Amino acid sequence: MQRVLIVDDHQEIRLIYSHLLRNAGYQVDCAINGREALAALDRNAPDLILLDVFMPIMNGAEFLEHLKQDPRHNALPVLLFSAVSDSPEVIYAMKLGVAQFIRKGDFGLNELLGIVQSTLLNNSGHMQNPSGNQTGSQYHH
Amino acid sequence: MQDAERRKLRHDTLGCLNSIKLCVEVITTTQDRDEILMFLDCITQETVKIETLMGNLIAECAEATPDTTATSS
Repeated sequence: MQRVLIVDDHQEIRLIYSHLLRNAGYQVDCAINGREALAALDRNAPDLILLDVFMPIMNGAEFLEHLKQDPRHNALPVLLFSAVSDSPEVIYAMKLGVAQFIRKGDFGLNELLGIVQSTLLNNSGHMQNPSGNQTGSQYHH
Repeated sequence: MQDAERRKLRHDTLGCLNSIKLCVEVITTTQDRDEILMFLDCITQETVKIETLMGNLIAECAEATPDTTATSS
């Protein structure tokens, strides 16, 4: 089963995204800041990270700096998301290398799920459903 | 208020509004009563947060706007 790590200090967003992804068949871990996310990486390596930018203790950009320096995890796809797209923190985080930036508010839940699925698909190089099994035409558009 | 604080205030306000939007989306797509109640509770929490954030925003606007009602004697 594919695993997604959600990193956001906003409790309601963690609840909504984990509800969405669990219902779609993914295993979900949550962290409330970058420091917790680094610890979560060591416990259970995810297949994809959903990362907020503005967080206390360690923000998304600082987390990405650590992630990119770690050869065990630096190839993990990261979907960066934030309620704003024009702040220096977001622009800096994007420069560190992410699969995609998602502005909160621009996407509904189904669209977000589609982005997660296609990012995992692109990263794996072959078609998998959330359980990790080969699949047929499920993700053809 | 510093620029970073102002950006955080804007981010948090937009984040709460987005969260409410997503909660409504979940509520309209589920039949599960417990889930509906959980996400209704989320909406309540978010509105409480927005109330605080709006208070901060109004205070910031008042601070940034010169008081034109003051009269000199």
